[in-house]
Amino acid sequence: MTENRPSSDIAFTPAVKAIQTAKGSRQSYARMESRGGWQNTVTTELADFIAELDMFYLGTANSEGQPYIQYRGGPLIPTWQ
Amino acid sequence: MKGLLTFDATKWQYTHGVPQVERISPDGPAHDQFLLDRDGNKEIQLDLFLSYGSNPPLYPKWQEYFRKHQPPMLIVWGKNDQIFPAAGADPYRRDIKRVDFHLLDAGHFALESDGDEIASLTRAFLHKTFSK
Repeated sequence: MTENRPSSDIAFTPAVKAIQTAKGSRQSYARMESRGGWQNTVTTELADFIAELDMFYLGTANSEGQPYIQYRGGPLIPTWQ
Repeated sequence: MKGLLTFDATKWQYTHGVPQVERISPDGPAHDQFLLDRDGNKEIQLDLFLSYGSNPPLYPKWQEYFRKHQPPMLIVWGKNDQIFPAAGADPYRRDIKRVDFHLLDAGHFALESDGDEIASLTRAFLHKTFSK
């Protein structure tokens, strides 16, 4: 999807990274980054899995192409009490 | 044990013992399941289950540590958790004189249903413990 851009640059704007620094979580993200980051493409397996779910996700992106994808609804999980 | 790795079992772990199931966001178990289903992961999970067996022989050592060093301890436990039943919380009070002890009306993933309350308890505990 995106050439060889580090995954945290795709997920986090500079403003978000500044907040992470202020709140103390930047280092742990940087550590994940140094180990190769995390998956940043929608693989066939992921697309198939999401297509099977009874819930929907909304994905938007800012003008830099940075995505924000969240669960946005669906039935409650059935319970087995 | 492989039955524990199905999507229904994952949902059960999230919802069993939760009085208000609407507090559990369904994407949590879905995300877990996608990761559980990765190639080769089932065998890793089964190895981990098996490895739990090496814990109980170590309990006396850990209990001795607790008795000797009396570390500050906060316990927040879902009282309806069937994976780690609440009876497992009590022995800590035998070894540690002062335990900040809370049983919540929650299940295994208590943070999913009672995250705010657990955060408050954690803050209060840290404040009490480190502001002396």
